Amino acid sequence: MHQNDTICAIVTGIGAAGVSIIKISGDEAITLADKIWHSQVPISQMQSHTLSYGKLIDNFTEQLVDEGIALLMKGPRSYTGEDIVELQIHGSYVGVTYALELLIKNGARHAEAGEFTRRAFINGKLDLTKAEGIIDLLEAKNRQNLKFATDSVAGKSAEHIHQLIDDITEIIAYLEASIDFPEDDVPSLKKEEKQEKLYNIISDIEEIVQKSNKGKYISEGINLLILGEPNVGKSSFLNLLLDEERAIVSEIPGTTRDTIEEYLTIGKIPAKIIDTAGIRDSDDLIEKIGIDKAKQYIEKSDFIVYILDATSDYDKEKDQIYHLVKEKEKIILLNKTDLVDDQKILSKYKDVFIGEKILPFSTQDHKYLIEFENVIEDIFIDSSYDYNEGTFITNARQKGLLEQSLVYIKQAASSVETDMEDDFLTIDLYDAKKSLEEVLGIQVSEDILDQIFSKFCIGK
Amino acid sequence: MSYIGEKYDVIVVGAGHAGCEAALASARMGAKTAVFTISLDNIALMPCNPSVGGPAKGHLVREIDALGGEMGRNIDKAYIQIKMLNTSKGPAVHALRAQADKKEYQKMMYDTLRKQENLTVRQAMVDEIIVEDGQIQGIKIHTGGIFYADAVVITAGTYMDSRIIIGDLLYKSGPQGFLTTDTLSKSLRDHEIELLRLKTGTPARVNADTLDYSKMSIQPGSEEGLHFSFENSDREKAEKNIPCWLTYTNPDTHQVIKDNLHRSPLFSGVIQGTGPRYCPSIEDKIVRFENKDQHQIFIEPEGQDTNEIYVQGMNTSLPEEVQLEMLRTIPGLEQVEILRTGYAIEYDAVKPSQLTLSFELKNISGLFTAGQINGTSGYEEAAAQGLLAGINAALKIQKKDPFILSRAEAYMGVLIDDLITKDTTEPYRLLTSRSEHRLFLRQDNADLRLTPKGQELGLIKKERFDKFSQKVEDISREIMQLKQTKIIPSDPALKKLVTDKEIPDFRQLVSLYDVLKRNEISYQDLQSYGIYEGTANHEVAEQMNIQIKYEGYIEKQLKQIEKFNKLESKKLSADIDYSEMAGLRKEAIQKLDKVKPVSVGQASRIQGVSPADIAVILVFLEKNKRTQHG
Ligand SMILES: Nc1nc2c(ncn2[C@@H]2O[C@H](COP(=O)(O)OP(=O)(O)OP(=O)(O)O)[C@@H](O)[C@H]2O)c(=O)[nH]1
Ligand SMILES: [Mg+2]
Repeated sequence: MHQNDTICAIVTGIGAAGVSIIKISGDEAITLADKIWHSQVPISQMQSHTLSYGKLIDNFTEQLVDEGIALLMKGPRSYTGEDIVELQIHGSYVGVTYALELLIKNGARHAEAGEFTRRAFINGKLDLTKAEGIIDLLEAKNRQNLKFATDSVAGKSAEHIHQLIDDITEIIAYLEASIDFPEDDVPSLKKEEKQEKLYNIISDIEEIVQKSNKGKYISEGINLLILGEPNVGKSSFLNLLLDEERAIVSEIPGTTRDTIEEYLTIGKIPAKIIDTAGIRDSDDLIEKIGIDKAKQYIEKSDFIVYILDATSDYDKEKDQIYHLVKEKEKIILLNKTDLVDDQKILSKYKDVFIGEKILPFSTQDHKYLIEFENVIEDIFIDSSYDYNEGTFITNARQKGLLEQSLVYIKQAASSVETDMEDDFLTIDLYDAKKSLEEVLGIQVSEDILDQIFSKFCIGK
Repeated sequence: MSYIGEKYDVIVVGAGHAGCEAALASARMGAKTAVFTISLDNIALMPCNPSVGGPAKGHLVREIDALGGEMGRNIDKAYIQIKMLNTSKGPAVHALRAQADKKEYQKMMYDTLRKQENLTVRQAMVDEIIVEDGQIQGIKIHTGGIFYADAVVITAGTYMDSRIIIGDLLYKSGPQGFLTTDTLSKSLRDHEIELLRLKTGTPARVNADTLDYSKMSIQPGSEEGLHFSFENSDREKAEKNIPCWLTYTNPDTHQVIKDNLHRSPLFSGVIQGTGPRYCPSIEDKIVRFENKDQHQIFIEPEGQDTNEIYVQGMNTSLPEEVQLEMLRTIPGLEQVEILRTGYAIEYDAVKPSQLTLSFELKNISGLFTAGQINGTSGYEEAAAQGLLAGINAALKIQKKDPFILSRAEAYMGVLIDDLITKDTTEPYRLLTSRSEHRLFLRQDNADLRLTPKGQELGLIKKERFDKFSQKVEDISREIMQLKQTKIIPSDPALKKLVTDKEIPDFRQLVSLYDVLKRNEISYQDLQSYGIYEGTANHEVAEQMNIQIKYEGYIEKQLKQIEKFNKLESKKLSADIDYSEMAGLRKEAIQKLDKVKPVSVGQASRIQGVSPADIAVILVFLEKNKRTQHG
């Protein structure tokens, strides 16, 4: 089981630039890759040691994640001696992690340190001298094991997952007790009770996934919307981010009449950025259409950059715009601070926008841009990820496993829906339990029986 | 004084459910076999409940039968009621259960033993095993005889150094007043076999003529021709259907127990052995589930020609007069008279981790143990072990490889693997939830899984095997035909079937195979609606209904089994020195040394061996292979 799983990992460093390679190895490497890789010829029908161009598509949502090249190396003529598929996709953090999570969700397991090499050795692909190194690595892992397990999911979420495991165990215990002790006085769960219990678990797992989820941002990057009154420097800000004169900038208010969309990365985050027409009370029809459009965009955006002109005071217009975006995640840029004393401005606006992120800014000075990028990364990348240590991979592993467990529970729920017999529920519930246990790095097997005997009075 | 008796190939010690199967298997495989029993009156005795089967247990009986063992045939001859449990919970957990006529069961089994070629049955108490240089030589009996044998199977059940406990009364005795022996325990200990102390219990037997059935609800069996043995697949109707009865305890019962708890040896510390959690005494239930105001009591006849009634659910070690008092609080039992007093029994058992997967002691070649002596409970668990141990004893003297069933092949495989690998402390009972491959290890396909193996061993008669081969052929032919026969949605018969079942119409041309995939439609429906003229008998039809309907789930399970088998096939030899394997943790080394797993798969199931330890072993294996090949 553990030793035969199909494993996957990112085998190149993750940087902002270049190509990342995800390696998948094991019996199911090809089947798994085909689930998410769309190209003219399915990987299963490719010749060994050939490449094909294709698209990486989330098989659960049908969303396009990335595109790139798939390389097939069939066992035993591969590094590990097993079937290997390598997906070479763009190097962005989000895309690669997303792909990895997707593979885990589909049933792959994240490779442990040195596991590809170990498999290569076990399958007779490496020479003897390498074996010593592998054992050292395993020894280290053995020593670390406990620490690793507790470190990886900390505090609240670990507690929460433990709770979920208990909940699933409880349902299994009910089902198993009535299966193994059919004539004992064991209460059986009614259809509605099963459904209620399962739906509760589903919504709990979904909540955890969402909390840890920058998934929306990861699949599409973020949708970033620039808003503000006319002439505050919105287009200048866009040009600064792009480092080119993309939008027309002029001192005439209302220069930008329609929205402008551009793609770029902010730090490590891919983003679609939208520059809009300045918002003001207007009778000009064309401008009005632009403004209405801006309001629609607010709805769809993940993040708002609200730009104010630091040289002017807070007034009714600014307040109206603020109310449009009040509920959204945002940052407030006090632009043109090169013209005024930014500290004074800052303290003035801090009183107005209580609890908001406010950044003094100038499109004329690059140092502000770096500050802005830091803020974005803080918001969209969990600070607990340590990119150099690679712990973010552990996290992709966990998230993939959580989503895997969700798939199983949903299958169980649909078995209840279609009135399948209890035995068929247990199959998926055991799998879900196992996935959750793997998130925490624990393994429990006797606990079902313990639960049965403590909960029910067995002994017909 | 002693004398030298007859020399045998295989000697079986004990003729309980394990001993009978072991002796029969060994004799049927051509070994000159003797079975020694402490009394000729306790052959195939059921000292506890009068039933055979149930979840996992019923599966075992079918497996025993599929391999050529006796229990299935025997209970089919001697039941007074049979039924199928769990029919609404999925085909894999359907479970046959029969109420036995205990005396008839014993008689039938003794008949079979007596008529068996190569088999000698005799009454004798075995005192000692004789071992030289780690090799079994034979046994010595109480009356002086020394019997040499190449293999010995000990199936002493609960008869080793047993004592019966009733309240503060405590005396040396085997079950139901039969003799017990402490010399055999001593002999085993002398040969460095580690023993455990276990406990179990049984309720009072009461006089049927003193019960008022009008206050109980009737629990009849099935009228259908259900059968454990695949040889009886032609039965159309149940041979017998004598009912059991259900009644309940009440607060008065519980009060009697509470008032007398201080007299219970369970709570006073007199009982030291570990009892099974799934078979607690009534006093245990009252204490642990204080809030329950009633417990089920099943009234089960012990046979057709007896007035003995087994009071299922009331097993106890309270003093006799308390037993009577509490029984009389139960509706229908107000006037009850006790025929046999309930008791707890403590006994010696062999720590099963000392065994190999073929039930041979790791440190004594040719010595096997099977049954309750290995720390299990239940007649079926015992019989299954006896059969396997008997087979392996016979194979041993034929100098052939042992016969081992894996967890993925049979519940029997789960049983032995759990026993050896898990080091349980309470009496072990098999449960369907102990199998990770439950969907494949069904009772309906036990013959498909095991009969070819039984035939290879020489345990299946030709006539039976021919019938089996025909069944296998019929199954594949039917599947093919169902796949090839297509039907249009507008077919009137199909339309009628769909309408009657109130299920959605088919949209396009489909095969009958796909039609059968619908939950609501059975093979028999296809026949009765004139859609398909299938020629399958009911056994083959059952396979169609299960294999086709649950194909997706079964395939998933088969994939898991394939994965499982990979690690099982990586063999570990018994002389590996784990302490020399760099990278293993101390705990893992200790556990591995003790269990001496035969495969990496087995090693991975030992508690205290981590996945990283397994990786170390895999690397070690490969390294070894390379060095050996130079
Ligand atoms: N001093 C100074 N001037 C700036 C800054 N940012 C923008 N400007 C000037 O402000 C004017 C308006 O800039 P735009 O970028 O066109 O403003 P906008 O918000 O896009 O305006 P509309 O498209 O008309 O809504 C231009 O003359 C810019 O040069 C700044 O940080 N400092
Ligand atoms: Mg503009």
